[in-house]
Amino acid sequence: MEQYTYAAAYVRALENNMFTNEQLADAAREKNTEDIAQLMREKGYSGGDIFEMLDNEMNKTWDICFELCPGEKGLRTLLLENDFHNVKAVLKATAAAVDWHELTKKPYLTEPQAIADAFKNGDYSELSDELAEVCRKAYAELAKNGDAQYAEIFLDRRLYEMMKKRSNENTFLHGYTERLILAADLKIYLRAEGKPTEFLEAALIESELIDVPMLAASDAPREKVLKKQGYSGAYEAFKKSPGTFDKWCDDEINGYMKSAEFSFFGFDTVAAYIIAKKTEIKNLRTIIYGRLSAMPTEEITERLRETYV
Amino acid sequence: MNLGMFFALLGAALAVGMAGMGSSYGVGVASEAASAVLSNDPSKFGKMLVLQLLPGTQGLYGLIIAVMVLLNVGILGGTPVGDTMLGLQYLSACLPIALGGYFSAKSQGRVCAAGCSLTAKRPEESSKAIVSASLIELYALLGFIVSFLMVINIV
Repeated sequence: MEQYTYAAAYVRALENNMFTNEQLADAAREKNTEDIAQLMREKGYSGGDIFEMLDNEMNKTWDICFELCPGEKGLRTLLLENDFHNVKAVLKATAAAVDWHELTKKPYLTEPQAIADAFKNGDYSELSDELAEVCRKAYAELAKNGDAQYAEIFLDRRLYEMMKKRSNENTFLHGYTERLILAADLKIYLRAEGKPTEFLEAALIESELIDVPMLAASDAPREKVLKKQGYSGAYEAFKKSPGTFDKWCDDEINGYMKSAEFSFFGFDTVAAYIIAKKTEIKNLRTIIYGRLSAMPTEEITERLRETYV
Repeated sequence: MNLGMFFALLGAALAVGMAGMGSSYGVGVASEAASAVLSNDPSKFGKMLVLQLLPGTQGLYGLIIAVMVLLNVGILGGTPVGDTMLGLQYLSACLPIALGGYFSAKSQGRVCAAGCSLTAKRPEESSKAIVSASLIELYALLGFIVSFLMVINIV
């Protein structure tokens, strides 16, 4: 159990450099991006322009965590999210015949170039067996429906199934995966109003947190169904705006992350730090884009996710 | 060597060995966490040092009891213990600190490691981490006192 004593304490010390809710609100009040960049520098961000600083910080976070927990399977499980993001990005870019290089995420388990080559040549032999099967089916899905949404739903489903399978040994990661699935299911369910039951049955992912067969089978209004399952908050948020709903989903996940605050020896602390860093960077991106588009401060603040620290 | 001496020496060995094993484990875990914190913020050295040292006291308690036994049984000079029952009494007297020291030092090490993380995040709360670790010290002390009383009262 003391396997990650050093890593956990190291990460706890790093958490002091993370943005709190109040500090993010202060950043949102800054008049220009240079002032925001200055606040970021004070927190240890580095790089040329402000977006490069964000990318560098995320890469630095992964590097630290790989150094702290070499060979940890949980890190590879978390990296699956980046790999699947890259598959989606490359697939859509290939279909639209546009460049994908700026759309991919680092780090990854599989080179995006290998994914792009596989889609281009129809030869998936360079990919792992698991990913090759996923890419082949995603491509077929896109070719069949001509709609990237179906391919995306398929990819999300496979991602969460793989994460679930790999996180079975780690209770914390398992809980995280379950919350990702919950968010994906709610998103599909609320956005698929009017679509046939078969679509829901095919798209929804088996979850421990929500009764999926009931969602797929019920004809009752969505508000009632979700209230019965204890997710009326999700419905309210969805009614307000898609952005509010996304924030609700992220806050559910971030709320769960806080359980790692009580762990001092396990991988949980490191995993929570990576996920918390992702949220921090997402928040900073929201602030920067908000400032660049001259969005009112209140509107930016409303969009900010709850922080881990 | 007679059987009485053997049991008495076994007691001394257990007192210093087991309490030392617990302490080395406890100090090791706490130091691992402390090093992680210090690599980010060396200014916390003083606070970390207290937490690193706390699980080490059990080893000292074990050493004191072992030295007392060695002095009493005559291995360092004087008349060596010849009675088997007397040897068993010394062995029994060593068990409280041997067992109490081993388990309390291990637990204390974990609490101290958690305390290092707590101090890293909230330096102003470091005293609470020390108090939490000190609670476990009580049980090592109880073992030490009982062993001490037994050793000095063996006739």
